[in-house]
Amino acid sequence: MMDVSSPAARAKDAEGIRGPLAISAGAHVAALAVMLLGPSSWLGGLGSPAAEEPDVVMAIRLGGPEGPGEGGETPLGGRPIQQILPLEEARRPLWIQPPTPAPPEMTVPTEDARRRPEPETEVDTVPEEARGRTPTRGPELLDGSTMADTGVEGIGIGLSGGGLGGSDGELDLANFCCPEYLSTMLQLIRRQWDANQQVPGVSVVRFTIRRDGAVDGVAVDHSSGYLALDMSAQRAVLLTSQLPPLPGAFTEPSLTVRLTFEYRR
Amino acid sequence: MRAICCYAFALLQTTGVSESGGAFGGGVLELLERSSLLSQAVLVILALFSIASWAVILLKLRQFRRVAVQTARFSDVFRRSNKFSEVQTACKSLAHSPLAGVFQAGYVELNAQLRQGGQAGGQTGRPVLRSFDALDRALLRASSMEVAKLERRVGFLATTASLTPFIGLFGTVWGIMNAFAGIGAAGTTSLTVVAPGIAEALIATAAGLFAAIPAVYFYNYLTQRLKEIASTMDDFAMEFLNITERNFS
Repeated sequence: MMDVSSPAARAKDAEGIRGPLAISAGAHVAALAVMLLGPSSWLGGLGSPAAEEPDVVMAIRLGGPEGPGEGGETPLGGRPIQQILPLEEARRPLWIQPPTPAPPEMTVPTEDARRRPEPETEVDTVPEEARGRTPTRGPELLDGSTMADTGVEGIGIGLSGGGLGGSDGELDLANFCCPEYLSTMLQLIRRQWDANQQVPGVSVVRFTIRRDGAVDGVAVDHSSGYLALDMSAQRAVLLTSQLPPLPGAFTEPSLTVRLTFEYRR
Repeated sequence: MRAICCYAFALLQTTGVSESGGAFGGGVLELLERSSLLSQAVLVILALFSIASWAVILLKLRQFRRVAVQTARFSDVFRRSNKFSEVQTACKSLAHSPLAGVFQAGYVELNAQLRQGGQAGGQTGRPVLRSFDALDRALLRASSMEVAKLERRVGFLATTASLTPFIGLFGTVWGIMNAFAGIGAAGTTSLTVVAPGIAEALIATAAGLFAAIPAVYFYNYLTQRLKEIASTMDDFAMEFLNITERNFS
């Protein structure tokens, strides 16, 4: 205990500043840690918005490597197909040729001849299930991802190139049913994307498509290291605020897409 | 302190690694990395001001809390005691109370005068105080000393409150100058080019306000508390004089 009777001793501070200084520095470090490591939604717009972890996440790479041009063999072109097998030759019985009837004699109708009444029976129409179809044989569907030249024009996925580059295409469709929807989505995003930024880089944007086609939860999932590239990619998705409604064959309430924007110099 | 600084540095390093390699956690660190060396120096200065001002705030809050507790205890002892010597004994355990300091100064002066002084009339044997002015001066001096002790380092809060916004503003102006220079070099006024530079620059102003706002609040709070304590000391000094005059004149 200090000597309280001496005025000089009383004038001194009983406590040093070192303890509070250490506490203050520790609190600042903790605040910094919370700011950097905590959920970015706490910082408002500075970070990417926190989104609920969706059920289905689809990864698509835009601006992938140079593809074989428009169309061609793409993974989408190699979807499971219905294999058509040649028909076996069936042995048909020979026709029994009936004797040719004698041609009727030509007679001149008399004046009092009456016209034969036409039958009033209705003609049966062909039932729906009896309509002709191409008969198919063999297994109906073959699961697999083999490349097959089906003659189908591929759906060009990719912004800067001519589509996905063959088997190297970065496309994780997560069992998505409807590639045509993706094609429409990417066309809409491509219209808003300014790929010419003079700086190469790869930026990944994550967003969620609701059932009604509204786009929300747009966030930069992986930064390219350049704010301009990230903002350009983000803007492309944000400006495409409305997409067509999700197809009925896709049963999930929403679809989350990780879209990779690849910039070339 | 050194350990905390090392931890902060390591935190920044690890966060930087995870940023570059994985998920995008937030934009602040990214903006900090891009900002110029001068902007980073400004941010470091502001961080030091903030740390120091919070240390002063914590120190003063703890000191004022002890002052309040021990002053209440001293007042209680002073009211209950019949002799100054009892109060003087209690003062030894009330080192943080400014009233105890004022009382001790008065008590020392009183004792000194009584040792030198004579007795009233020579018949009753009652001691008589020679100079009330000297006692008043002693109380006043002790009161000033206690106020000065409580005021120590509070001025730093005022300095922080008034200085850090300007330091932050300087960092922002400098960053915007660089941003405009970049716009001129790029030859385009696209928002894509303009926005990142301005965002980097504005961090300095935000940091300045982050340091200044608590400093302003607690400076006003502590100053108000200090006025209350000074007023209490004046009241006590007058009461001490009154008691002395009643008993030693």
